[in-house]
Amino acid sequence: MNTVELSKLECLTKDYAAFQARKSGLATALGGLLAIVMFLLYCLLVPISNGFRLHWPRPVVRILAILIFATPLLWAALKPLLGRLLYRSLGEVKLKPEVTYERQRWYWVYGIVMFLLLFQTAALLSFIQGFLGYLSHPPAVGQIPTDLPSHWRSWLWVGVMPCAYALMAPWCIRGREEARAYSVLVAQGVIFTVAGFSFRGVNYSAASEAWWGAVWFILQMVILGWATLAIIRGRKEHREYLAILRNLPREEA
Amino acid sequence: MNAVDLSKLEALTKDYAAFQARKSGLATALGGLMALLLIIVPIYKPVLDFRPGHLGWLQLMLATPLIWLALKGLLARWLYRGFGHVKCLPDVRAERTRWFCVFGISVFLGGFLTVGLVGFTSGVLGLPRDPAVLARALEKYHWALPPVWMTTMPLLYLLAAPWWIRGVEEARAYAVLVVQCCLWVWQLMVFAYLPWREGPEHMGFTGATIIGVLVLALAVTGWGALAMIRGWKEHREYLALLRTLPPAGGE
Repeated sequence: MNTVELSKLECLTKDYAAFQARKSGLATALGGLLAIVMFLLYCLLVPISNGFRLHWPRPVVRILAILIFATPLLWAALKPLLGRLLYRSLGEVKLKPEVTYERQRWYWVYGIVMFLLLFQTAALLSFIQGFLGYLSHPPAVGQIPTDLPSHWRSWLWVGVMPCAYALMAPWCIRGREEARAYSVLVAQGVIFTVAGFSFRGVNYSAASEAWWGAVWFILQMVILGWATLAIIRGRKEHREYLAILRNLPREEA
Repeated sequence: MNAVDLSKLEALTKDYAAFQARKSGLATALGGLMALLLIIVPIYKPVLDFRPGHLGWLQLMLATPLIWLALKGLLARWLYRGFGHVKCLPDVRAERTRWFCVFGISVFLGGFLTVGLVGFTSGVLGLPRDPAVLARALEKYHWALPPVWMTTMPLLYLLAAPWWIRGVEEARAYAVLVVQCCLWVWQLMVFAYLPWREGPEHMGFTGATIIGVLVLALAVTGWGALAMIRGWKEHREYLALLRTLPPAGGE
């Protein structure tokens, strides 16, 4: 091997190592696909859980709900499997540690955790506001006992899921693409939690419902747009990896 | 200067830079002192007697971690920059440890808010079903709803953490102060929403709670004393470092 070939091989090794350190290839595409699946499952869940024309057994509804809210965790579990299966065909390689890169990664984790904490704080505040609403509208007090089980069901998600999402963040985020995918899936989970939250008996109005509906629609369009781009980008990155494999010098050369 | 002197000066510069990168000296001691004050003040002052819009002991207590962060920055600027600003070489491991500490604090705060939410929900579920009794219960709990500023405190604690925490010692001091403050918020937020019962106010102080509080107070006192010793020791290290510096006119 001459110097030119050696430097070419060095370049290829770096590119190959990047796939083990921060690039995720098809896992990004999977993130995009799961964001779309989450949306479709939610669209299926809403009419089922409201008993609109469809009458599915309760366990099916519950499994569907678990599937939706556990999707970010499912992606976090599938991603390393994909990385191991697809991007380690030439063995394990370690990229040189970089402070800037490490800091960026942690900024993403911090951003996600901050968002989840902000959501929990908002949830607690809205709960208190709802409680105060009951106090200032005495006729609504009589509704509390009938509404309580539904509040409990929806608020259990609010309480537990953000913690699980936050706990997984540093272990499943390696690069910017992965951070973006995980953020979108987590945001999707949080949006659906808010939509499922039913503590609105007191401050409910048709105008606020329309306003929230418009916000929800815009957010979903943005997420679906990102999901399509993520599928394209993930596929492109996977093809980059295949190109690396093709460019490798043959053993007998 | 010969090679030996140069290598000695290099080691000194590294030690000096460490004080600007991760060591906090007297700030750790101050953290220990503030942790002790968070135990002592509630014994002598009526901290739970607070009125909206009035600056009371409780507000001051809950702001302690943020006050410590501000004082820490000032102390570092006054005490440990005698020879100007120096940057330590970037270290991936130190950076990772620092972020793990911030992440640990954030997980605790997330868990705390989760407990608050679940406690609140179960408290509401425990309300009586009879409309007349229910109305009385709601009237009784009206005073106990936590104010908005108190609910946002965990968020503020996390917001400040990554910009001000530099090393493990600082993270530890900040974590202890945050945990203590969260326990005070928890006392106000959750205890009031335990299953409701008629009669005199239920304070929630059971035998287990008292033992738990005592164990915690002892642990914090122990840590506070150790932090003060460690902080003072680190400060003396800095003074020793200044003494070992070669005089400016030396050859």
